[in-house]
Amino acid sequence: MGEWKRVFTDPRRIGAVVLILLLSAAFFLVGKMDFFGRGSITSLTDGEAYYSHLTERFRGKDLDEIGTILNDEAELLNSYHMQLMGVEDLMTFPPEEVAAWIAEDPLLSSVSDLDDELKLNIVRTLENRVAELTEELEYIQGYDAYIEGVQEQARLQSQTALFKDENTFVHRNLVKTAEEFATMRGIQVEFGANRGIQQWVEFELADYLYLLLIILFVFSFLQERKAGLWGIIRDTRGGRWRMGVHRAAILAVVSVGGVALIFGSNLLISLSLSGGWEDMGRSVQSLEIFRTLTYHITVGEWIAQYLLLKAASGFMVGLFLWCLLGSISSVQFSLSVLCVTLAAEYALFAFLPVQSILNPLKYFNIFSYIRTSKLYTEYLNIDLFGYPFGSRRLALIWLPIFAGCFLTWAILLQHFRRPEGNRSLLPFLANMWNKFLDFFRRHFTIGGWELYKTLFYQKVLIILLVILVASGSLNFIRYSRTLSNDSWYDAYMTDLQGPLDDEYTDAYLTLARSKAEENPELLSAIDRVEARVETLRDRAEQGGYQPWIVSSTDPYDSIMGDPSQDLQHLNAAFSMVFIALCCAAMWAYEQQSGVVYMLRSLKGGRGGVLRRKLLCALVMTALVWAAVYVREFQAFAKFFHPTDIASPLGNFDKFQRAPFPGMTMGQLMAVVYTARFVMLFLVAMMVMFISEHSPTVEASYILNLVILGLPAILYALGIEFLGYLSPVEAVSAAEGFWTLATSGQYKGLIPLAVWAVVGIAALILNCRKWVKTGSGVRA
Amino acid sequence: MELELKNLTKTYGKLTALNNFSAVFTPGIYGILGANGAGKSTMMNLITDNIKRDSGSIIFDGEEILQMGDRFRSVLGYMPQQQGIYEHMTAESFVTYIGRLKGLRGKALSSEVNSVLELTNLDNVRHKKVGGFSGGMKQRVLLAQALLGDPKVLILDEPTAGLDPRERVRIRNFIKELAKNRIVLLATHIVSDIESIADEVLLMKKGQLLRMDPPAELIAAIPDTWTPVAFRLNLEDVYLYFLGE
Repeated sequence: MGEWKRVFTDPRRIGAVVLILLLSAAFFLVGKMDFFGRGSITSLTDGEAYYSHLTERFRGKDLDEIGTILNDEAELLNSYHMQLMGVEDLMTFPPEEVAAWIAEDPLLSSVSDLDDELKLNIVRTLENRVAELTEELEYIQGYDAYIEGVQEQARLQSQTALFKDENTFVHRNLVKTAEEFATMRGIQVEFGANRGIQQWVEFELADYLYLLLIILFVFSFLQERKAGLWGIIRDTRGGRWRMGVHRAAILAVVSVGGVALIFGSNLLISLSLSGGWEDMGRSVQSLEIFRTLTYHITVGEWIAQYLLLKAASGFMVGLFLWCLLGSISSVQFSLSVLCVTLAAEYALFAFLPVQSILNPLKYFNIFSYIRTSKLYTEYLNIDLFGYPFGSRRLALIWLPIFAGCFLTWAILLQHFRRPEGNRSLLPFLANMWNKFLDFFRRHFTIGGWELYKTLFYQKVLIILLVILVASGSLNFIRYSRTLSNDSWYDAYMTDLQGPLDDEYTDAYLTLARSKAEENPELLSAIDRVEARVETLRDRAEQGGYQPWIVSSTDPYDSIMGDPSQDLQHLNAAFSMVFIALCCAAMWAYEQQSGVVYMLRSLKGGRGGVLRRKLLCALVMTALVWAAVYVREFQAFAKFFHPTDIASPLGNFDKFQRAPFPGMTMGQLMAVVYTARFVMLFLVAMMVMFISEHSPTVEASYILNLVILGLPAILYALGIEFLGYLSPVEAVSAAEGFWTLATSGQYKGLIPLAVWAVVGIAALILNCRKWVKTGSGVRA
Repeated sequence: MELELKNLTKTYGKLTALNNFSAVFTPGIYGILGANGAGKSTMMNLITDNIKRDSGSIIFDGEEILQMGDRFRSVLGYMPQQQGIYEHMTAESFVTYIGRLKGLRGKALSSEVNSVLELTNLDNVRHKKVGGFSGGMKQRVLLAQALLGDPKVLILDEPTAGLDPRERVRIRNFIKELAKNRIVLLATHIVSDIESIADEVLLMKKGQLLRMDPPAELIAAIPDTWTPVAFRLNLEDVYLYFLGE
């Protein structure tokens, strides 16, 4: 029992398991959201409630009736959408009818107090749910035709000259496919609540988190090697095969428990939100993702079978990894060997062509047994000696064989493997690799060393790669459009856009008037343009800047103004999390390594190290800023008018009250982007301050994410009071400068000033603590 | 060259770690003996300016070390007691990194790195990560870094702990060689290390300096009546007699 207690009561391991479960549930919920930002949680719960309500309403109804209801719902939602957008002309139903429908609908009437932006988000979500149900309806209606089509296609193809030869894999495959799909003829597919199960099956991250959980426990079996206790354990009575048996049993419990906790909890969450408990008795083919599954089974039976397969696969994969890592004598190479093995397996799983001669490596692969849903959602026959074999059947047949072999191997290893005197090529290879690296590291400057330590020893390079990928899915633009209701006026203004040249403008308008040929619409538009030009000239003369004909502020509002405020906050919050991840280890790594006293006794160990650390923080800031805000600028650059950027602010109606009307739009944007950079750097200083007070790297990550990351994300998600505790608004910066430019009030810059002071204080404290005489930094 | 500690006092709350401690060091080896909590490490941390003193001064060649700052640190070599080390680095990387922080560069750096690695018998494992080293090997890496840059003041806190007898003798002889033109402060629990190489021994108890004399004088100071055994007295007896351990 000692081994069970050791493995299951280690606080760090318990913490890691809890973290895995939280991540799984959190990302699953985020995956269910139609968007991420302010109001996303309300939209999620309302959308799911609406979906459950509709599917409940459809129970017992025939498909035509369902189709009619869905169509009506879609049109009503679309009308409401148009009304909220302010384009009532495009509404299919009149506003009164929409209002009556909303009043009757308990869900929509309950959100009628929210602001238009939130309502619009909810309506978009509901529209998506209706679209999903419509797709499901089409699938159900077309299932029989699909089954017939597959058989017909197989029959026709097998008769063509190319595939006619009966001794080839292709011909046999076509025959087998047709036969298997023929068994599905007449199967009853029924309409029901599919969303909960479908999303649960498609949530890939849970598979990888489950693998992580298994790895976590496999590593616990190597702990005695790391602690130098291998010999002692092996010399005890129960330290050999008995220990192996206990560990195999622990792995089995972890595999089953992991499935119950990770997949079970997600299934519960999903079904509780989207419904579907009553639809478990339908054939599994009622869900579109299983259209190619060719055996008869109900949804409920399939879930039970799937969970069992997951647990068995997890156990087998765990045994394999235990055998692999247990075979390595030098425990310091375990992580490298694991990473290389997983990378190679994933490459084979993801990139090897389906009909490659090496495809057994693709299907008898760790990831095939981890991504088990693919065995049910993808119909595939593998070419084995010219005969087609179903990939699922093969995987299932081999699973117990693999598990048995690895179990035996693992127990034998535990019994026979000696701690010392094993021959291994790994230390030699590692030595060669280090020799190669040392050749370059010999030439590093102090700055080079600090950057290298940050990127490689603190693993920030991996974090940066994750940031690069994650920032790709950030959203920056919330389209804002003010309609002038005069397309001719808009066309003339677009033609004249740019610095206002009196001579050219007058000539253009005279020509336009002559060509208008008494068309009252055109003439009215020209009158409006002339009036506008006059206004701009007068305003510029009073303000002392150059008049300019500009497009509206819509492009700028879409990215920096009020409509996109929630996105700005969210992106600022993510930037803060990214900075925290990049800089959290900077000082904590020194504390954890216990080198502080030694470094501080060196000539360049105080100011020298500090300056280089700050430089590293600056580099990290630049990279995070580029990953988020250069992307934002790229998104913005696609749709703003290039000449506007040089126009003085006073020419924009919205910025008439700007205290500096002569400043150009480009300069204002440069100020905003610079402020964001500076604020991000100051946040990095706060991160480093926390890092300097953390005894370990782990503690620093946790503290930084709790103190800086979490409040930022929660504020961005709509928990308003956290705005006072988090520098999100200051990092976002646009809000403050936009308020200044539109209203002339400086109050929007208060958060920026306050948090800048906090950041500067953190910078000063960082410097004092490291450099100051006898500051008593922890050794 | 002279390092003078004048009336140094350091307290941690109610505990007085160093009490009005004074000593003058000129080139030579100074062995520091004392039980745990006697104030040896506190004294070393005050000289390396890692902790803040309550009162007193530390003068190097007539100048307060706090005023000297980096100038003092450039003549200092420090090997801490804790085996704090960057475990991800190879032995060569670690020593090179510290060499950089000591202001060495180019050929001077690589030649010094090679020389200290050879001296501490780490040459054959220079490309291995120090995280995989035994306690004794880590000790040698720390000693190697302290020797870089030709330090005038060398502070060694338990330099031979964890070393095998042959290594210990080798390092001991090397320290003896080094001490010709520099001040070496050597704190250790291995009394025989000090006995054979120290020019003077500092006996510390409860933050105070009991005696500071050459080993022979200390041995001679033990009265005949105390002698617990019949054979020749050595520094272990000095430790037991003066420190009452």
